[in-house]
Amino acid sequence: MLCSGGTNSSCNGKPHIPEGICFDSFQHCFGDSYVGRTCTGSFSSDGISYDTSNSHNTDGGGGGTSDNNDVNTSPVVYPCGDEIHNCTKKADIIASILGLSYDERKWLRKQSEETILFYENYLDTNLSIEAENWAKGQIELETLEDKFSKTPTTGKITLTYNPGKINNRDDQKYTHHGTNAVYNVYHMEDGSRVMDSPTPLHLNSDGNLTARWTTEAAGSSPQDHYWYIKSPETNNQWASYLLKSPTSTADELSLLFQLGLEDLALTLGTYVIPVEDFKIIFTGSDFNGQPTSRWLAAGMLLMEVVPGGKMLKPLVKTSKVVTTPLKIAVKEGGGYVVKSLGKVVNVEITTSVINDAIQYLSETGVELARVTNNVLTVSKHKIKAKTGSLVFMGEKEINAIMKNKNYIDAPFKGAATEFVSEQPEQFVRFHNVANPDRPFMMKLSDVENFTNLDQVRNAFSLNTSNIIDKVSFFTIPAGKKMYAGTANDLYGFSGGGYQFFIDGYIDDAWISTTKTLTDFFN
Amino acid sequence: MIKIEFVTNNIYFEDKCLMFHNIFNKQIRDVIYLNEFIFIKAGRRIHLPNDNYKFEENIFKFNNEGELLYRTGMLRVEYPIGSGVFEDWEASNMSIVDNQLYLGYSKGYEAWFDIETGELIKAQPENRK
Repeated sequence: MLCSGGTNSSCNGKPHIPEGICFDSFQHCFGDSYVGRTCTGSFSSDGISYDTSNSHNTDGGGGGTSDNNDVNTSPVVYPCGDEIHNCTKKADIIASILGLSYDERKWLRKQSEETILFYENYLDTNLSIEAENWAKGQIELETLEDKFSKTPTTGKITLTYNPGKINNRDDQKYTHHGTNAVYNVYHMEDGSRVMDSPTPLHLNSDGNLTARWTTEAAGSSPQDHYWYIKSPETNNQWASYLLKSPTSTADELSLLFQLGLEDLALTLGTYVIPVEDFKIIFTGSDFNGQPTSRWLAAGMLLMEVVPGGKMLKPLVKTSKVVTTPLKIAVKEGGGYVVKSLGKVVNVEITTSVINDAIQYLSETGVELARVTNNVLTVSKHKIKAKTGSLVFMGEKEINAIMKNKNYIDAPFKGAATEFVSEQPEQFVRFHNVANPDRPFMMKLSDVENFTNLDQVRNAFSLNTSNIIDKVSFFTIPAGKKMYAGTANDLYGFSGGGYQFFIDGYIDDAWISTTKTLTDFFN
Repeated sequence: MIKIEFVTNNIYFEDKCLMFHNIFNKQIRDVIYLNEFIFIKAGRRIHLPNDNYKFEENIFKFNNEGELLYRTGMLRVEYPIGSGVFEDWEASNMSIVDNQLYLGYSKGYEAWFDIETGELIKAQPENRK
């Protein structure tokens, strides 16, 4: 089909990408330029070249004769560019790249400047087949949603007030429902929009992954349909919604983590699963390089709370400039319960999974905390911490705290933790007669192999002006706030020892034994 | 002769018995005997409840006759710095250095007091681990 009645002259000689022959021609050209080739006889738009030799144009970059009701054709307005580089043309370029259907392209043309520029920028900055699939999937879902209306219209899905529960789950209550016998659409109580489809939509279309989903997830029962969700927490973009039978949170997590094992899943976009009354949102990058499936085997997930909603994200790697609450989902009684863990303050930490424990490591690989069998412990010494008390913080934060506690020479290096001990803990302290009960202590296991005081001074940067002739063994009662982290290199010493700062009053009655250095090292 | 029973917290002077805990609601922790004076550092009772315990001067100086010459040792410090919160600290360790009462505080402070009067001479952060 040629644009504007099928003649070139009706295009007014303006560069344009209409439907039919013109569209196919440009699609080929832009498709090639997108993967790095150069089209000939062309002009450039944002680095994309395309052939003008067989342009068939319409006024103002409108949608062609068949779309006159959908596109403003007069007066000519170019909301996101000049006459040549306007939004309609950008939309057509995107449509060409993605190979959109007629309806999808028509929808895209009607979108705001912001939306079109979003897709343009997304495709410019994400040069991959997966990115194209994601964008195509978004548009496909949006096109479907565009048919939804609360006003009954022939051929459109009408959302009517009809409260109920998806899969009879209490955490999946909706207020409105509509269907066109193929798709079901639900307006959820929390404001999100959920849609189910009997077939996978392009959001998940990526070769093997689609096939695997088809065999494993799809079925004849409604709960095995393909589910999609859009909410503010997903930036109002569609995401796969891993929703299965009423009591299958574990199954949903299993499916998610199967995806996590697939390289294909790494760039596929966003997944959302419900856990209790929370929703957990995962992006492909959350799996990157992490044996995430083992987290499920260990029955736990560490989460950060997305501000503003009951949405959680797994904490794999985070760098925050603000305090971020952390949550942990632990397996209890066959289900998952979300518990408060603590928070993150301005520090980047990473996780790794060793022996079914989640380890939280500083930038230099020092273990800050771990979760094993649903028990949170701090440092390699496995000190039990009260739930909700753990704070990961950066070097600047911990040393600022220390400075306010009169330790001017920054005692910590790298990330550190603050926590409240769950049970009494044993420590040792090197001191003299005048300072036995002070905040800085260490674990016996970190010094018991030393043979002299110099080694202790070097590992913990104990200034030589600090006379030391004794070692005392402390039992610190439960419920004490502590800071823990690596000793800084000070006073010519290397540091690197793992030290603890007991916050608050230190009672000399907590000393069980005091030894001379000679006795200790012997 | 001066006799101190740590279990009962009693101090027996020549002609009187001082029931230390009953009077001061504190337990004797450390004792220094110097130049016919007794310096006592006291604190919360360790193995028994110590109801209504208050942080207050916990360094005591007695003469040989059991007469209390002064109580000292408490510091009021803004802690953490800049927090606007002032804490009362009892001394956690006691020494006599250069004929001054040298006291340490478990949050990392040190202070010097006049040994004759118990007046504070100087206090500062230790900045030592």
